Amino acid sequence: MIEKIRKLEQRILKLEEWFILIALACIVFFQIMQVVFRYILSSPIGWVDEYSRFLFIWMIMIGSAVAVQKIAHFNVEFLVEKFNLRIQWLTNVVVTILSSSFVIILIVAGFRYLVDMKGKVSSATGVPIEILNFAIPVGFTLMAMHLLFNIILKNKKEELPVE
Amino acid sequence: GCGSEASGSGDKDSKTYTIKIGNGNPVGEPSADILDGFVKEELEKRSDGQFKVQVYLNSQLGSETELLEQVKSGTLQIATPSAPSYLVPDLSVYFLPYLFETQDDLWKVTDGPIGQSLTKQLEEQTNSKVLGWWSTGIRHIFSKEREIRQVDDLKGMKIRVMEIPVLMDVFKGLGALPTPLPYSDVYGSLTTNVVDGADNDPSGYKNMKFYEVANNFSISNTLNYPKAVIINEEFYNSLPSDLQKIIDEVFAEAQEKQRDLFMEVMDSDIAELKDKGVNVIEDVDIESFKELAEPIWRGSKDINQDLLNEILESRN
Amino acid sequence: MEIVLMLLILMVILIMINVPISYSIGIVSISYFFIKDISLLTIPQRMFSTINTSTLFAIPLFLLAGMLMNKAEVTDKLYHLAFTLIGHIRGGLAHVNVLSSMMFASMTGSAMADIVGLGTVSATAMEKKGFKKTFAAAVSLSASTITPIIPPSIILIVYGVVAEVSIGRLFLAGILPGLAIGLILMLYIYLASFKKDFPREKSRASFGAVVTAFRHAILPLFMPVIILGGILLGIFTPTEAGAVAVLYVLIIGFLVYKKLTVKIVIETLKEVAATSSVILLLISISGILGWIITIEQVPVLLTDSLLSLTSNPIIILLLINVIILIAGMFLDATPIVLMLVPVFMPILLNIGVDPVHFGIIIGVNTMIGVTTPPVGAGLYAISGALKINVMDVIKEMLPMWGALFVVLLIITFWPGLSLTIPNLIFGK
Ligand code: NA
Ligand code: NA
Repeated sequence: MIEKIRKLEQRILKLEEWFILIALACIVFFQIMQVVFRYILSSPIGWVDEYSRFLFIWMIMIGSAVAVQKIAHFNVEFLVEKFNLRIQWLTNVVVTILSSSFVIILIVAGFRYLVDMKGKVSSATGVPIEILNFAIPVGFTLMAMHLLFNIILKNKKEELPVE
Repeated sequence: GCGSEASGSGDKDSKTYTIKIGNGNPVGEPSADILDGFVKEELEKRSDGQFKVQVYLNSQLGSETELLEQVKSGTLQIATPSAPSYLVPDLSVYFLPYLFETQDDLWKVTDGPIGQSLTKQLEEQTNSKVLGWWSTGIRHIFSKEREIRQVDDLKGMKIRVMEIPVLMDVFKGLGALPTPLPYSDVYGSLTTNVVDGADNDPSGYKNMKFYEVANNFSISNTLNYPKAVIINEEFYNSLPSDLQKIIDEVFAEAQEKQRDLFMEVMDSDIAELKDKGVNVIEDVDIESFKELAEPIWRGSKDINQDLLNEILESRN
Repeated sequence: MEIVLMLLILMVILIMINVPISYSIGIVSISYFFIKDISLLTIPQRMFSTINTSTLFAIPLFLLAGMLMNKAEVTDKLYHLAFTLIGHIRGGLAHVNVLSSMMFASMTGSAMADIVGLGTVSATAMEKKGFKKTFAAAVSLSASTITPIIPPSIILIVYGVVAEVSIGRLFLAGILPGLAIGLILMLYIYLASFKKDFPREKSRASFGAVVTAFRHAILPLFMPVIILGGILLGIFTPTEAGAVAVLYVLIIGFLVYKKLTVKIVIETLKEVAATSSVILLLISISGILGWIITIEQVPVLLTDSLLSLTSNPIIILLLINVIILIAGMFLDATPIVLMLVPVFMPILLNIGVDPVHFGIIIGVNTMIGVTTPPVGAGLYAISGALKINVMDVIKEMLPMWGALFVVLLIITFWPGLSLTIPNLIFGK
């Protein structure tokens, strides 16, 4: 059972990682393309800035979910480490409850925002604004899922391998 | 706490209401000055202190679009968004060049039956009541190197435009290379030649210091659109009728004052710009621009052609 | 006002018991919305608003360029050159770190770009030469405060607009204070090197060694020329410059140094995307707190109490600096300028402070804020990028903050340092 869940998590993680790396690659490509079109071809492209920003925000939300799996969001551990194990266990429970409530409230708020803005279009290119607004509910749902996986699988803090 | 919220407190007669007003303009721009001056003072005075008014200028609480959303959700009570065409597509007509050449042209349509139907659409889209339509000044094109004296001078120039879809068609139609950029990036992009020019009203051009990096200000009269003053409908309906009346009266007077003040300020700003050594080009061949205007009106897919015809017919 | 104070205390407690910082800020912000019965719709709106700007692309782009430079082993060549040049001086590469930030400052206007780009590269190079990683991070972080002071500068443009001051004057006013920050940091490093025995070369490198190092580093040395030249000639924006930098590193990494492979690039993209997401989620959630502080009119109320205390100009300037420093612990530079400048400007004009001079004061002060906890994007960016504990960086930062406060005091009470150049060029 645990192995199955671990496999499922790894599969989801892989998809998320491919998503964020392609998003970032597209941003690099779009920015360079804009330079070429504006400076060399003298015909700036209207949609580049907005599409890049949409990709950027999606990357942030999905990337934040990846970071939950790796337990890599900034935190301050020095104080808790000084407590005895019982208090550490207790704070751990409190932290998990608080983190989960935050993430769940943002899923709700994100969905409500999505519904509220339904039918609107983006300011520069006129694409449906839902494309952007879906990022928060989707990103935070994935975050909630990884939080749950972390509890079940007792995931350990992993270094984000940036060198 | 920080005083009572819009829901009010105390017994019925002396109940106080906090009105939070969000605006996107800097101090010195007529809407900002009227809101933080006349509107705030008169609302508090005429209500005998039942209104407590807090004015947040300069996009402190968000962009104009975001302030509109905050009014819609009841977080703020009042905001002043520039013709929000992303919510009410029909408002795109306000961004057509030379359709409203003078302030009189603009107010005749806006205050008339066509304006009323636009107002109704906006109210339905935003859970709000429109308290008036204010001026944003007349926008002119300014440039870095090349002087714009007639429309051919625009050929091939990279002009920054606001992030509104119809404006891409407008500036393409005038022969320029429209480059949509956020307002906050304009100064830097002019410095580094990412764009060769942009457009603004004299007050914005002066307040944002654009003359430091783009010294040619051509009186081209390109755009002339209004901004809406909206109040959250639920909040407005929750007020006793005497307080509703005070709001209606104060904003009716504020609208006249704001429109007049913008006319004065545009003139005095142009004079001030000349003193600062700005090359103000007043003998622009506007006819050459206007010749290209009609194809733009007719050619843009963002424009409701029936509405356009209605506006043109209302002038005959 | 009281409610904001309570929320800030609660936030500190949450951070202390190990709730991730972004969640801590988010939890207290959401509490505010529940207490005040405000629509939750404003929360996603503020989150989107804070990150929906292409200016912030600079974070992943310069981080990516920096990481790729490391993987292409370009950084090593650059720092080998710097080391052969001044590695024998007391403090060695720590000086090179500061000097390179001063050069970088003339190409970009954002401290974050410096931290995640050059700062990471410099610190990595310092570590490879035997410096403590946390000390190297602290040097990079402190040096990044120079970036938005030496022109161009995003924050000074924002200030110029709010305070209605000439941006040209502000830019010129930043030159000497920017150099002053660099010199004082280098002075601190020089003095500290007596106590701490920093690694350095035993003797000056031979002329031949310098020439060889230069030959190996010539292509990366050309990169700032391309970036600066491209920005100055209007070929691309400072944000796009980040992408051009990536492209340039890819070209020399694949074709010249042949150290990059498609697999390495994919891995780097993945790492950079995740790391910058953590930084940007924090920035995004901070946007909610900033909005709450603004709508509660905290700065206005603070000012009222300030003016009721004293009318002595020196004390007022000190107090204003303290308020900005405290604000800087919790907020980004831009919202501080947007909120506090309109509040302080009347007081400052009253006591005869030149608005151009104040622009530099608030610029330096808010940049210190980028390096301070509990909310300090720069502090977390450098810790995240280098994979080190935030607390260890904070320990190393203590004397650095001392040095930065000294510069802040010099800049605050010596108007001539800021005003001489702009007055010389534009007249009084
Ligand atoms: Na700079
Ligand atoms: Na800080």
